[in-house]
Amino acid sequence: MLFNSYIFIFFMMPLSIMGYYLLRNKKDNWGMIWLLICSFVFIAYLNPLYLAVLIPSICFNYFIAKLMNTPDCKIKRKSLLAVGVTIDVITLLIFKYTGFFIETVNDILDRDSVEIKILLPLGISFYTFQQITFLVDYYRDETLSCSLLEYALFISFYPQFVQGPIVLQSEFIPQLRDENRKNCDQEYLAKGLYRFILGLAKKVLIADGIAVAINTGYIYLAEHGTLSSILLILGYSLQIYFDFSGYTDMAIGLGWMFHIDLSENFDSPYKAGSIEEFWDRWHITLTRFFTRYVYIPLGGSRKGRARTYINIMIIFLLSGLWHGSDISFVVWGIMHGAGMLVCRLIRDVRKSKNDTLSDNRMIKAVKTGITFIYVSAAWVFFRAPDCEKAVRVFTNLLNAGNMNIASRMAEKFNEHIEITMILRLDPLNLNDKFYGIWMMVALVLVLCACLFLPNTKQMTERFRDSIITMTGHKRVITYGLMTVLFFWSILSMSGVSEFVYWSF
Amino acid sequence: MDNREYTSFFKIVIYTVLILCLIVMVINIIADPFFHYHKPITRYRLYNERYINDGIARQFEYDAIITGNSLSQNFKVTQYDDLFGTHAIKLPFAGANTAELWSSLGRAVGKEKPGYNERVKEILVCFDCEDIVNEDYMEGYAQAPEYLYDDNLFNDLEYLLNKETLYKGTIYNVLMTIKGRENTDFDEYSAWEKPTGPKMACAPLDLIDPEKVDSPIVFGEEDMNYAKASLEYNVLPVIRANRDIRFKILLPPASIAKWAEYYDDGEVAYRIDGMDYILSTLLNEENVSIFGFADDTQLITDLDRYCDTIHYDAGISEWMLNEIASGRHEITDYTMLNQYIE
Repeated sequence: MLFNSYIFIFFMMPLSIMGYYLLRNKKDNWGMIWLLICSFVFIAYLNPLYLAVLIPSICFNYFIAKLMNTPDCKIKRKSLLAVGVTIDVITLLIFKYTGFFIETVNDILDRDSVEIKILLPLGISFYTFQQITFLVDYYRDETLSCSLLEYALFISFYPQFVQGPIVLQSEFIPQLRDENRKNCDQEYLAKGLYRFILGLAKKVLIADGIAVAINTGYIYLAEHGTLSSILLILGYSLQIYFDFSGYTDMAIGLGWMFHIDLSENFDSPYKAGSIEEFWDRWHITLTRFFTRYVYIPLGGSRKGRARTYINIMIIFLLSGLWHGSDISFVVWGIMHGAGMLVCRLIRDVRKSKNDTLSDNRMIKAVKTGITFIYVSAAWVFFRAPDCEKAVRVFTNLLNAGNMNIASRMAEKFNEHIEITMILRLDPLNLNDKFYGIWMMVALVLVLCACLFLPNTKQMTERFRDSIITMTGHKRVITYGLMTVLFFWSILSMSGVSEFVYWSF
Repeated sequence: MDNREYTSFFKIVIYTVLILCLIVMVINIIADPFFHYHKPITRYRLYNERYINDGIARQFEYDAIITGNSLSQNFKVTQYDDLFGTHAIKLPFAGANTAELWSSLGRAVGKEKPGYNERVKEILVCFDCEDIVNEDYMEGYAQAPEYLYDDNLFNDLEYLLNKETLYKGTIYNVLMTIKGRENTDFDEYSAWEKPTGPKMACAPLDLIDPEKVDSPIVFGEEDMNYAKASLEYNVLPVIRANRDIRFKILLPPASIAKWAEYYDDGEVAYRIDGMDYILSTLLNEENVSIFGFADDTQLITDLDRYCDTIHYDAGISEWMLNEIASGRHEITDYTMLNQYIE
């Protein structure tokens, strides 16, 4: 089930929240049981077989943790940890990478590919990592003992199940047990709804709106000149940010509606002045996972400069592979690893020269610009169907004679109702004079919003602080804006798409 | 802490959104631009085939259907009615595969629902032999709006709470009604006009290297099994369940450029043998008439009439209907089929 679906918004969300608070105050665990049932329904809605992988995996990891805590267990704790983590990783490898592995081997041996279709369980990349954090924290005695019910809910809690954030057991379980969180909190409910609406709008109105044009742009790569390629690259950078961070906003908002705080995952990443800073702001819980559970155990920065650099590259190679089973994701990981190394080198050089001067605003802006361009270039490998197509995007950039915007991409963008209305109201007929201009304007505006406006976390904080004192027209505007945003997002969840092949 | 402001925000936003959604749903049900619930009550625009065809099939009154992929888009319903004395509708599905096309036809003439177009007496189908031989013969168009086809009221929310339905359908139709504009007629529905000529028709051939012709592919047992399965799963159940309806199977004339593509891919014999098998099977059905145009060499070599390798101009569509009406190009037995295949 998707957050941006009618069945979720009109049935699943209200039923799960109401049921939870109705059952939560009872002495038994009915509230948790209800939430677990809702989570399983949410997961099984797309394919019940997902549960056939998830439930055994939950039981297995819980069993390993319990064994670790059994005093008379003859198996060493470290061995149990190794077994648990290995099985988790192997499960992920089998489901996610078998096809990629066979394809690669066949390519190397120049054989015809035998297609093997393996069901990829929903959320497996996320819940595998979350289970690994649990086992390692358990081994390190950094977490609480918990029941199977609590553990199952920690792993399958539906707001964070599909795309994270990757939560730690020590963050989640105490909240379930906290007596103060058993009551329905109006502040959490209101700010949860506020954040959910912002996330839904980011996903449905902005990310999906851009995606229609970008997908068409990637189908017809031959049509792009310099300007069109820039828009293609910029468009995907904005699409992926608004898509992923929008989903996370919805997850955090839903968590709040259950009176549970989930970790923040984004902090205006495109405002970053370096790749290092970018990863402190983008998918924060994944960075935390790799830092705590891979980078530091590998030695981190404690074993000399060369080893540090190798460890960084290992992290980003793994990160690339985790994001997708294709060589282009590896290239994406290498680009980010290389970016991190350059940042480290510069930092080390400045440190050795005792250069502690802070950057002025101009330098900060230049650094932000360079970082954004570099990150956007890396996204091309993330989005393109293969490396060849990604290279094609860059060669199109050099097609300087062509400053038109690819007509099919622009046409798709212009089909949006909002753009149709602008086209009708535009007295200068700008679109006729420069086809696709409104796509360019829209992308630039969205980019400016990323760079200069507060992010959704900051907006929600401001809302929470100001709502009590809000009076008169300010209140009307806030309530009205959120109502319109929610309503229009709902109306935008299902489109009537013209088919690419419609005129054949 | 005073929680009243939080509560009022939550309640006001939720209740207002629910009321607005309800209003939009009611408006869309009443206007119903894709005829999902009832016959048109406003002036209407026929557009977006996959969304509107099922509604047309279920709500309009007619006794003949013209259907098929994009090659059926330029048929004129008025010409068809004049030639055959019918009251026809056109249900084209651009890019449709066999599964999608025949399941839609099955819904249009399905007898499981009382009152479903009992008056239909003939159906003209632009038939795609190429797609019949297909491993995925059961899969329709992945992006088709299932919610308009499955009779499930719950997922109708995708239709009713949809800004596209509201703006491009409901509001557009209401404005048409206010301004007194005419409905889209079936002649113009989905019809198109594009530049034609050898340059357009042969564009894909630029990519072909005549030096590198693939070795010929044989229409083997596996292909025959796919064709058989597809016919038995998609096509024959509709034909056999409606013996009172005449199915006119039209075999469209792909240009010589398309055959050059087949030649380059080593597929000429493969395609012809596949067609032979499919048509032999269809000839056994008493309520099927087959009209073949692919053997008309004068027609298929006239590249001035094609805008790509397979799409011909509206004049050819018109000519083919006249030919069908005069009984020419009909394949009635195996001898004629062999001649056609030869």
